[in-house]
Amino acid sequence: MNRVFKALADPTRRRVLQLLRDRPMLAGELADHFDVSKPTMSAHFAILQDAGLIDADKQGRTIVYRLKMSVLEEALLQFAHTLGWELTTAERARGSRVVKRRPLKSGA
Amino acid sequence: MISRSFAYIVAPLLLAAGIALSLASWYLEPGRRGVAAALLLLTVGMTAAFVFARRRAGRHPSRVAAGDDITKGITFVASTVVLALGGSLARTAGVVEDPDLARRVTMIAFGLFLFAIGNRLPKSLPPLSVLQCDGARLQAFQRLTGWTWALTGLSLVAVWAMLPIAAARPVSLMLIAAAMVIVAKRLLALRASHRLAA
Repeated sequence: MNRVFKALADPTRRRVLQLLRDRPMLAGELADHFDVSKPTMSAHFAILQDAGLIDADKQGRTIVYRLKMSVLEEALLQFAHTLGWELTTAERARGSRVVKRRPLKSGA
Repeated sequence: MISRSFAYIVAPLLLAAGIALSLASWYLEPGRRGVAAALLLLTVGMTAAFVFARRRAGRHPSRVAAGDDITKGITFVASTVVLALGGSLARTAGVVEDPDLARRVTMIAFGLFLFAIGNRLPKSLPPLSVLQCDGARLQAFQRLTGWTWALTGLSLVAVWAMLPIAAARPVSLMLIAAAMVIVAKRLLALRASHRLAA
């Protein structure tokens, strides 16, 4: 469960999950939505896969990502999004799994 | 919902309790012998399935996963049987006075079972290579079905925990019927889209 909390604590990963709610997407398609490097995106995908929230299906040379969230996990995603859970800088640095609640931001 | 090791420890205990309670019900509740016999058959059948699943599991990951699913399902059903028979026998023995307690507990367990099934449903993804329809549509169907059964299960728990028996029965039937209609309607739409695509 800690892996799920850690995965949901990052806004980029939450955004990935929200994009995958609509349809399965290619890794490149998903990366186009974010202004981050490919290795960083790969790390985000790896964390989400490790938490069992997404599924990677290799088709030839491409990877298709699909949402693999239970109802409870999806409810938790919505909850995390609403409350704006985020890892603090210090926690990020030491790789802590503790999440901190932040006040709701408009358009977050 | 249930961890693997927990299910493997609890399942045989629940099955043994189910068989013992079915036999006790057969002797102590002559008016309910039909129910006791049916539950005894069910429990013996589940015991056979549990033993078979454990023997067949081996080391192959897919077989281990299938064995885990069977064991978790058996744990849920066996716990419902034990709760129902335990409640009924407790009333017969005069330990519990509420005549509806056994039925309430059974239906609450059934609601939890539906919730657990619905909760896990969106996680069971078939490989994209074997899909015969649009992956996005299938994903939407699985999510809707999962949410529908999970919410129906939770509603059943609330209904049987709070409403009087006379109201709980029709309300729960309506809830289950509504869930089935929603899922069936979406399934027909999925089939129609597959035919159009073909």
